[in-house]
Formats: sequence, C-alpha cells, structure tokens
Amino acid sequence: MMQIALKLSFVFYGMAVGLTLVGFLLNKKWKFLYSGHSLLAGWAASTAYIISRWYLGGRAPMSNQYESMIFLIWAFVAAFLVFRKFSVRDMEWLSPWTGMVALLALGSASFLESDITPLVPALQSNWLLIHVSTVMTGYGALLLSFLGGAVLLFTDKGQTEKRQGLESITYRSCLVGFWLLSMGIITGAVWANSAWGSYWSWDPKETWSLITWLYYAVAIHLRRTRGWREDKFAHLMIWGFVLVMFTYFGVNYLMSGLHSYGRGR
Amino acid sequence: MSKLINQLASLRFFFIISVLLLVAFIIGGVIPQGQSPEDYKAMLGSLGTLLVMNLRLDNVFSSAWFMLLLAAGALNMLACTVKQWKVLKHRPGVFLSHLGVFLMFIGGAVGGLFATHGILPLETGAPRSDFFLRTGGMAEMPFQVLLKEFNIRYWDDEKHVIHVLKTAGAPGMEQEGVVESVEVKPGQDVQFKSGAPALAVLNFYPNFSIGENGPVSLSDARVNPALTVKQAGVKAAKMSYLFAAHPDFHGMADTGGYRFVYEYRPGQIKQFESRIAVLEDGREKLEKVINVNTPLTYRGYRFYQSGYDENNLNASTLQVAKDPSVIVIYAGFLILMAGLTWAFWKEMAAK
Ligand code: HEM
Repeated sequence: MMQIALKLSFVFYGMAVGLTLVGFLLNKKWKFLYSGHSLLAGWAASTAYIISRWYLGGRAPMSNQYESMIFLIWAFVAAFLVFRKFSVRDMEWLSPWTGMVALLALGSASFLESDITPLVPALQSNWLLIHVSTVMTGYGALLLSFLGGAVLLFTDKGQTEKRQGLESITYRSCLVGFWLLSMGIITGAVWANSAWGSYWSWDPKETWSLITWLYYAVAIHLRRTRGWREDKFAHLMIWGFVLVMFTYFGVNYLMSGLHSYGRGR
Repeated sequence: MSKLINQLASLRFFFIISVLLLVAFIIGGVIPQGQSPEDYKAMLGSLGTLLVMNLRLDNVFSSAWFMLLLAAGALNMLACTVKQWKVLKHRPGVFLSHLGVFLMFIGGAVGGLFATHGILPLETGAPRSDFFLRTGGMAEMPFQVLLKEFNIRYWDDEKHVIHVLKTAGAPGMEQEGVVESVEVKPGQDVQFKSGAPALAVLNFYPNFSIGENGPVSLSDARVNPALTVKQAGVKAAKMSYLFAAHPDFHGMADTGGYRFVYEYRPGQIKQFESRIAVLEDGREKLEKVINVNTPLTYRGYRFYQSGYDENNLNASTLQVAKDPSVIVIYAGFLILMAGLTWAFWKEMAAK
C-alpha cells in the first residue's frame, strides 16, 4: 500500500509534465488544466504515502533527511495547490514546472536511507513534528517563490499579464515562506530550550537558518522600500533558495552539530 | 543629534548592518567553532591559524567585534522602531515586527550577561548544591539536588544469541565457521538443528566476575555480559561460561566438534530517566522524573537530563540552566509573529 502510493505520486507528477508537453504539441486549450489535476492527484498519493508511513512507524514521519524531504515536496505541491485555488490563471504557468521539480526531488530522495527506525531520545518530542513541519512547509513555499522567479526571468517582457501573475506569486509565496521560516526557527528555539536549556547555541544549522532568515528579511525590505520588483526580486528569490538548499543539505553533509541526525548512521 | 538618530534609523544602516552580520554568520557557520589552535593548523595552515586566532574567528559569536555588531543592530532596530511609532496606527504589523526583533536583541544581551549554564554530575544518595560552570569554575545553588534513581528505557528487550561454530577439520569445514545462530533465554534449554549438543542456559551476568562463592555480577551495567551454560540432559555435565566480550574463550569440552560463541545484543535505547528531588535545609521539597525532553524547574533553575555513565548506573549527569532572558526572548517571539501575521495578512489581501 505504502509503496504503491509512492509510485502513484511519481506517475502523477510525471503526468503533470507529460500532459502539458502533449497539450503544447497538439496546441490544445487544456494543456495546463489537466496538468493541474495531475498535480492534485500526485499530491493526494503523497498524502497517502505519508499517512501510511506515519501509521506504520507509530510516529510522525519527520525524523531523518528522507522523511523530511518527502514532507518538503508534499508541502511544496500543497503550496502550489493552495495558490492555484486563489488564482488559477496566474498559477497555470507553473504547473508543469511544479511537476518537474516534484519529480526530480522525489527521485533524489529515493537515494536516501528510507527505513523506518526508532527515535533516539532527543527526537522524542511533539516539538519534532511542529518544528520540522513548519520549517519544511516554509522551504516548500520558498521553493515555489524560487520557481516563480525563475519562470519570470525566462518570460518575455512583452507578456505583461503572465509576468504580473508570476511576480505576484513570487512575492506572496516569499511572504508565506518567510512567515513559516520565522515560525520554524522560533519553534526550534523553544524546543531546544525545553530539551537542553538553551534556546540558541550557534550550531551550524541554526547559524545557517539565521543567515537565510536575515537574507529574506532584507529581500522583503528591498522590495518594499527600494522597489526591487520583477527581475530584481526574482534574482533575490533564486539566490535565497540557494541559501535554503545549503541550510537544508549542505550543513548536514559538510558540518556536524546538534542537527546532524540527517546523516546516515 | 536628530541627524544622528535619523542615520541610525535609516534603512541604509539596516542594509549595511545586515550585510556585515551575514558575513559574520557565514564565517561562524563555515569555520568550525571552539577548536584548539592545533586543529586549526591542521585545517588551515599557519597563516590561516594566525588569522583565526587574532580575529577570534574560532569563537565568532562571543567575540568583541561581533558584540559590537549586535549592539549596532540593536540600536538600528530601536531607532527604527521608535521612528515607526508614528505609523503604529496605519501599519501596526510593521511596528510589532520591529518591536519583536528589538526585544530579541535585548533578550540576547540579557542572556549573554546574566545566564548561567553548567553541568551537575550526581550519584544516587549524595545530594549536592554546587555545579560546574560551562565557562569554568563552580557555582552554588540555594538548595540541594538529590538523584534518587537513574534508568535507561529500551524500545525492545536486550537479546542473547548463541552462534554455533563448527571447528576446522570437521568434514566439509576447511575453516571454522558459523553453522547456526539461535536466540536464547536464561533459564531455558536450547536445541540446535546443526547437530550441536543441546544446552541448558542457566544465568545471565551483566557484569561478570568470580566472587568467593562462584560467579557474581558486579553491577547491572552491561560491562562484561556472560552466560552460564551446561549440556542439557547430561547429569554429570559441568557448568561453563560464555563471554560476549571474549568470544575465543573455550570453556566447554566434549561438544563433538562444535564451539559456542555468545553475542549480547543491547536493546535500542528509548529514554534516559533520572528521578531527582530538591532539598532545602535537608527537607525534601519536590520530586520529579526528568528525561531528555522533560526538565525540572525550581526557583529559576532548570535541570535537564544530559548524560550517564555506562559503567555506573547509579550516576547521572544533568545540565543546569538559569537564564532570565528566556521571558524576554519569548515575548519577542510572540510579538514578532503577531506583527508578521498582521503585516503579511494586509499585503496578501491587497492585490
Ligand atoms: C531583521 C529585522 C527586521 C524584520 C524581521 C522586519 C520586518 C518587517 C516587516 C514584516 C515589514 C512589513 C513588510 C510588508 O508588509 O511586506 C517591514 C517593513 C518595513 N521595515 Fe522592517 N524589519 C526588520 C528590520 C528593519 C529595520 C532595522 C528597519 C529600519 C532601518 C526597517 C524598516 C522598515 C520599513 C521602513 C518598512 C516599510 C514600512 C511601510 O511600508 O510602512 N526594518 N519590516
């Protein structure tokens, strides 16, 4: 059941890409519509996968790099679907790309250790669920903002309507992502304080998350007070996500610290 | 004066401080912190080490220049927040966000100046009121802490496995090799399919030693796990020992070309728990079981389970924290989140 759900999400995300391609080739009106539907189906399959993992493990599936990555992809597609609910027209440009990113990310995740293992004492806390899920959802929203920015940069200056839509999504998902990132850092600090008595200890993961947070804070101010919009803001979002990726992967593999549980044992 | 304040409150100053802070964070996030000069030499060479040591890049986050930078950030934040006082009515979310960040600066300073962190090693039955400060030296608490009991909880039970080896030279065996592995339980007999003689597994000794009246266990700590066994169903069979730590110890004769090796598999640790009590003037005030995610708080001091001694299960190490800045920091968290929610809600609603 669990493995079928995982395979189905691969298939549907693949279809989200494929259907758009076919639609373009045949020059059909529905080219984006069905791709959006496939994403919804893929997301539902991912949801089933996460729930069955949760059920089988008897605990929230958030305890290693594999599980957090699956959740990140889930949150990213969820962010897409929520935004799509509010503005179908603006979001349709992003649906094949969302499918592509989800597919590639799921594929990379499958190289990670995916066994369900018992939790070490430090991770046995409800804060694990609260902290990891907010951070990952934040990363998901920031990934959407990266994607919006990237597509915006490749959109012809003439297509004003499409550009406006993308610009608005890029900014909004940045705000949502920044809000969640703030919440994620705060819940992490509260957890650390309740587990070992200091809310901040400058371990590499904490330091890098603060770098990312301050970067996005500056980006929002540049936009609001210096008018960095469109391409400028898109660049800010693309580099911001590079920082996110480093915080998420780089720190685990290159440095040691409290958060190094992401490494294979 | 007002010109200076305007400068301090300016966005330009914010951007400059942010870039400097980002650089500082990156240095502190890339160079491993708190290592010895020798370690840096191995990593960065002599020139790099000179740089690291002189600019205090080995402890960026407690260096004077970093404190200066934080102070500048705090001033910027304060000036900006105060200036935004006027827009409180129109954009309360922005004001609250800035106030929240400012409180975190203040909290960080209070923490840096007044927080104490340390280590309290305890042994059952020996209350103590002094602990080792993280920064060196000792500190005294106005009460005593007593360890009543320390426990390790496991996800699954420990396992005892006996591997049967066929000795070299037996038919079909070039080298000595494992032919069978069976989980056993002390107090039960075990049969083997490979033809090795059945065993009666008698007792388990977590920390085996020979006392005056034969085998004893020195403690419950799994230091030298051993099993006593003898051939089952043979009246005159002699008892012998299997040691997990000494697999080559041959204790048993007449096994028809088989040898037994004992493997001790510890359970997966679930939780470390200390039952501790607080004493004032010799009278017990409070008792609580603490574990890795559940500390005890008493008169501003918090006690966290932090370590234990594999060889002495009557000992437990606690972390002690007394940090008056927590309340300020948490207030900052709440106000920042309220502010962000308010400000972004407005932004998202506007098209
Ligand atoms: C890392 C620290 C900071 C955070 C988290 C922060 C947060 C915010 C937020 C959430 C907004 C509203 C943005 C929006 O509605 O889209 C904002 C706006 C603003 N911030 Fe900050 N801020 C910080 C530092 C500063 C500093 C130091 C200054 C002053 C130098 C400053 C000046 C402003 C200004 C002028 C606005 C625009 C106000 C308006 O549009 O009415 N911020 N800030």
